[in-house]
Amino acid sequence: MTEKLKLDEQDRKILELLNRDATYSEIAEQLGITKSELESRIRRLSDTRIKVLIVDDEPDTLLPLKRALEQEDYNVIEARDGLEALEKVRTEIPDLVLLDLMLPGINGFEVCQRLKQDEMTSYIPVIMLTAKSEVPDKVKGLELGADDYVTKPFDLAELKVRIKAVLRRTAP
Amino acid sequence: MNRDSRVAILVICVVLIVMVILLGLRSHGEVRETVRTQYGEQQLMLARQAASSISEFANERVTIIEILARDRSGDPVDNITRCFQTIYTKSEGFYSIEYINASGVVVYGYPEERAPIGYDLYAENRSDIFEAVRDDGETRICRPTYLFEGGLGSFIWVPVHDGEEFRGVILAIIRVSTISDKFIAPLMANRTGYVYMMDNHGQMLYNGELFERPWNGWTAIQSDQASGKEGTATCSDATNEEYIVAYAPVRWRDQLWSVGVLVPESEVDSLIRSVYKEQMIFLGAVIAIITGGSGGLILMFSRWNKRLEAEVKAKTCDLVRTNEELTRANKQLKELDKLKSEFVSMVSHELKTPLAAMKTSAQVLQGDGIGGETRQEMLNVILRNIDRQTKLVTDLLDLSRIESGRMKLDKEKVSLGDIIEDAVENVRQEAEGKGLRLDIDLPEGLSPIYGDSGKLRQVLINLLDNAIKFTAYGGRIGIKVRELNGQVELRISDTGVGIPAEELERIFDKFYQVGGAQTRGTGLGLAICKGIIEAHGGRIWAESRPGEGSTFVIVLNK
Repeated sequence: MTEKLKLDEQDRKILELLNRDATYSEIAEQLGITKSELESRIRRLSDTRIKVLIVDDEPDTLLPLKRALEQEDYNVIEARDGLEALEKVRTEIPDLVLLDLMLPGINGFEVCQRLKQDEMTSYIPVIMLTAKSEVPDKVKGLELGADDYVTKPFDLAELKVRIKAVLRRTAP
Repeated sequence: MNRDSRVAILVICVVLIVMVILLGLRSHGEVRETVRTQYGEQQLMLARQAASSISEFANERVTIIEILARDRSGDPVDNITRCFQTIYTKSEGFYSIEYINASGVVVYGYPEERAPIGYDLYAENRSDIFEAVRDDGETRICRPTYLFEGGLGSFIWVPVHDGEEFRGVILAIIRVSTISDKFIAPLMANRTGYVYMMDNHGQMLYNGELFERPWNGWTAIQSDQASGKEGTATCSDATNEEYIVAYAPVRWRDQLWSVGVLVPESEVDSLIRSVYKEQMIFLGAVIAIITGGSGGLILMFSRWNKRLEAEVKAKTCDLVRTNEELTRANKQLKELDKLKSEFVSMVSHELKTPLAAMKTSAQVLQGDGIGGETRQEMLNVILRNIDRQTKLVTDLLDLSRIESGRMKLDKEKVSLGDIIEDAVENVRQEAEGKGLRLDIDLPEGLSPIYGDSGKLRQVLINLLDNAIKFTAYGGRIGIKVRELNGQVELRISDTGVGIPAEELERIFDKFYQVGGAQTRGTGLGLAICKGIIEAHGGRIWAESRPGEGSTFVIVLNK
């Protein structure tokens, strides 16, 4: 699973230093980051599960989905609005984003567009997950670069299959 | 009519008046010449009339004497002289009538006191005319000469021949003053000017003193008069005042006199002036009528125009208003359409979201190896979303009832204080969770109101929920009640984000949400609140200052 990890420059440096048996304090000092941040990065680097970011402002939609995916052994992280979603993608580098469209602030379409326009994040597959079931919305979402479009209420089994399919399709 | 056309009409009027005046001035010269000629002719007529009257009078007198001399030529002298008195009295105008016998002595005269009885022509050596008359037997009239008694007189010598026998001469004297008093003096009565008479030798017979002062152009006139011509001419006096002279000859046998009428030219001017005066009055009246009339027309047109303009303006205003109304209606329709599609989208979202949550939760529960904690979580999600769904359906039904006027109120006497406390309890937990202070200000002894406690509670909870939702952590929410005249006023205020002034009216419209879809909600709450309050016969409105908070005010009848 290690080859599936998406590493940024700092992650590579952390791995390199760890291989030279440097202590956490030395590494944090050398990279100019706090020790807690280093610890969270190392925790992340050590977690080899597939990481899924769920973006939804409705806690009641988010929670069951999170539990269901956790049961499937996904590492699930969450964001409640568009800005938080962009921030999480940048810091957590998820393997997949489940994106709701009706979000406060920046809506789902815009989040998708920004992710797909940024070279650093454009490879991350996005599945749109929304109550908007009209064809124009689907077309728009797919045109913006979404990899799949699932309407609420969805079937959990189907969603799981689709997630797997998208991951398989987009695997490097 | 606009200002320009009014000015144009005035200018046209002024130009017309100026043209009339110019034409009048131009014709003045011609008019004056014509009037002057006419006036001269008139003076000539006067002179001619006077002259012919004089001729007739004088010739008549001569004829009378001649008839007497011929008829009575054989009679004794006494018979002849007896007729003198009759002739003198019947035919006025003679100064005296005398009889000179064949030897040249005055033997009789009438009136006697004027007759120089016994005057011997030969002795006085004045027998030349007597002898001439005696010899040729013709009547002879002498140039006027001065009488003994003073004044000029004309002597008429008429011979009396009985066959070949010369019996004597009848001498009649006519005083020039008799003629002038009778025919000339009245001519100039009540008129400006002079009249004069002269004979063909240049001797003045009447008004001779007129020519004691110098006259320019007089000589030519005098020579015309002396040669018996008639006509008009001009001359001027020492002060250069122009005069018109009209003259006509008096022919009395071989005597040639001339009557002249002398009038100042200023008479012509005054005549013209008097004519002009009349004309000016007429012209003035015409101008007054024209200007008055055109002024009236202008006034009439401008009033008419103003009325038309006002009508057009009113019509235009109507059109503009109608247009605005249509535009507004159109905008409202578009807005409504947008709201409708937003509503459909919202309802679809709001209905599907809880369903999705419930479905996912249920499917999680179906799975194997679920921990007790997760099971409980999932059940809670399902229950919460059933409530949420229920509330949405209830709201939609409420709204539908409000709109169709089918909302049923379960009215009774209720305590507003109880309802408020109940509502506050309902939201207290949520408010405290957000660190909001709840201030409740209820007056003591608040009288009960007549209403549906359940629906009023719903309204209060909705307003409080909104206040909590839009107020940041640590803010304050106040509820204040006060009694007015037969009414109760309830104010729910917060220190939240506030509502823009232009949206204050619309927040009570169904589906309307401040800031569009930015904030989540159904957009039904306030519409339902309004419906409930209005169903109670009350009013609800909002006051707000963006950034400082909002206050929702409810006024209910007791």
